[in-house]
Amino acid sequence: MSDPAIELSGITKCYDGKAVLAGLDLSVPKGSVVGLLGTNGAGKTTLIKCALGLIRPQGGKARLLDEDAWTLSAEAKTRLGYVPQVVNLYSWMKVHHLIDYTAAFYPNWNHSLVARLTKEWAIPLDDRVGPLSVGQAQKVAILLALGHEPELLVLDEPAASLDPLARRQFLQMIIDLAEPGRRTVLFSTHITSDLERVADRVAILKSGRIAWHGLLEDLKSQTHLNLEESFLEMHHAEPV
Amino acid sequence: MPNAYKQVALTYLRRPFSSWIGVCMFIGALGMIPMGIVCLLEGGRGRPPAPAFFPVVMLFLFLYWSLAMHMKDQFADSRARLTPGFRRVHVVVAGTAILVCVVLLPGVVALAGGLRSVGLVALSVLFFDAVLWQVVSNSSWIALVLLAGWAGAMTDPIRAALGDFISGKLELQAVVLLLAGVVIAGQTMLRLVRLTEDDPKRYRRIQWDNLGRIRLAGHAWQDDTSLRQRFRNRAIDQGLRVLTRHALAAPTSWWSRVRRWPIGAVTPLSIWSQSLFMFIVLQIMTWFIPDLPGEENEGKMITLLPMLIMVFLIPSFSLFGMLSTRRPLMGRELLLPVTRRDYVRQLGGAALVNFLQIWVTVTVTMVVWWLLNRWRAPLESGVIIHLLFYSVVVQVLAFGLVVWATSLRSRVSAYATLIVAIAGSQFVGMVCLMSPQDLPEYALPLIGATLAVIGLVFLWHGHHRWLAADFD
Repeated sequence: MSDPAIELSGITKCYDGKAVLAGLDLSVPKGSVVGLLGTNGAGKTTLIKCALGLIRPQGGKARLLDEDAWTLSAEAKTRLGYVPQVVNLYSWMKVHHLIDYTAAFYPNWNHSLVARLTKEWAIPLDDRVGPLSVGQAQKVAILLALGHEPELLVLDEPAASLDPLARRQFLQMIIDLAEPGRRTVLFSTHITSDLERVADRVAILKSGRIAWHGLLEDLKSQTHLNLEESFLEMHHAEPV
Repeated sequence: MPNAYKQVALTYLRRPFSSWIGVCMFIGALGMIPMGIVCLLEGGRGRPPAPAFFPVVMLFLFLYWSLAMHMKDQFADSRARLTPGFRRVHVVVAGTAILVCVVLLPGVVALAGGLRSVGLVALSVLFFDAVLWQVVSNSSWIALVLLAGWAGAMTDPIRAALGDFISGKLELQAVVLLLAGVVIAGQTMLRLVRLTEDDPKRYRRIQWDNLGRIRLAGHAWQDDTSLRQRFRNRAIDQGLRVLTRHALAAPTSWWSRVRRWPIGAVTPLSIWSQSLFMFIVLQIMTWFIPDLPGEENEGKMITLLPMLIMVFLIPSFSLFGMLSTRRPLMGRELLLPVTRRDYVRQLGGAALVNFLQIWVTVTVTMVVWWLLNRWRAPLESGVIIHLLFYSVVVQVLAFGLVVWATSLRSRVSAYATLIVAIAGSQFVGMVCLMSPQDLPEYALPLIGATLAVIGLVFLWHGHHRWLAADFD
């Protein structure tokens, strides 16, 4: 069995004395599509940032693509794509300048894929990034993460600001990208229906730890509920 | 990847004036040119008075600030840690930009001025080090050090020493300082390159979107246990109690309806601290503003110039800052149970109250400062009366201008308007007050009335703009 794409062992991360992650373990197998679910403030973004080596946990180990997350090599980074929850792009750049700038760092940049996506998603290449709507900026960020066809794609609430058409296109893109064994995807979301469409595994974050991780089908067959109901049940909340 | 170096270099060339601080400095440099001209015309003997060099220093400050902000923007982002080869490429390009702007450019200026010394280059490197440290560490005390250094540099002994330093008489010291400056720059760049989100105070950076709105990018950081924050929390709590009282009384009282819109200084504590700050700034300014030659000019420059600057600058910029930072909230406030017309007028009323509070604070502070410094500047009573009259009319101009400027979408245009107005009003003030005996009797009332009318026109126009403004 190959090493997992992401391996988190005993991760602890505190802010102002409060433990956001408390001894968390998570293993994301290569080739899987894992949806990360959790309530607001559960620590999904913190988990993702620890996994990517953007922040250092106070305890535990994070490994990404067979390397220590904190000291990732350039080669590993060519295989990684990330879309943050809060997209910070150079607001004064035109979109095509930003694409060219990003592409310059990736020897395996797929220009024809990017051209296709910009057309499908109607991204205005000659506009400056600053005045783009939140949804448009999100599309640009996703595009920049997909352009080099990464082996591991990490997305933090990627579809939150997308319109229904763009969301459908984006989800289809994830399904295409994650053809069996081809790519690994980890994405956090609040939208359980998106997760059900795309993910084969789900990880539920609660009280700083992974409360449940496994195949989506196993969760449904264990609880005899759909994903949303299972999530609510786990948080002892009544469905509407 | 040669293309990556080119692309990164292009980001330096394509970036517009996206730092409002840099814009301020740049326009401030332009605004200081009239001052320099007045000084040269009034003085005209020997070395040019120090203010004539301010524009040059300000322009370099603008350049270095823009460079530092651009570098911070690049490294204070997740891209810096996750993009392959990012650090190497960006460090090489940044290093080249620093070499050109901080070393070669001053070197060329020195050579063009006939100087065969590294003194100017050493000063330039140290100056850049201070700016870069300020930007990287988000520390405010460096700005005070710069200000103190600048003030000190305008005193005669230090100016003479600087002259020796630049001209090559202290060459060994210049070389040592240059090397030290290079080491400090290297250390600061290393700090910048190693920034992570685990250092939220330093990771934060100012972003300026296309509509001229400032936002702070980066993880929110606040230390509630620090003395500064405890002071702030106390002032906020006090202010909130006052606001709540007015909000509850609003349905029955016009004054309460105006006062319920929190804007600017609402607590006695902040007015006192403003006053103290102004006093300190006034005092520092007198250290580096030289007096003009001639007995008839004794004390005028060091007294009038700071007061002319403060009387327009402080109230207008305070109000400008309050209204500008409030603008993103206005859309939400407009949805409260108040018509647009009432909202604009009540907010305008609140702004006026705050503006007057600040102006009274400035005036009282200036009077106290002048009384304590009267021995240096024995101004005639006529000049004092003219100054007070000027102060009143310039407030009308300032208020009208700020109301109009803050209705503009572009912050660059707004700042440009204000800074040109400040420069212009100082120029007018200096001309009127330096030698009032040379002007006809009706000159000052006519000029004052003109400024006031201009202010009222701007106020009227600004009011209409606000009534039609988009609050998004």
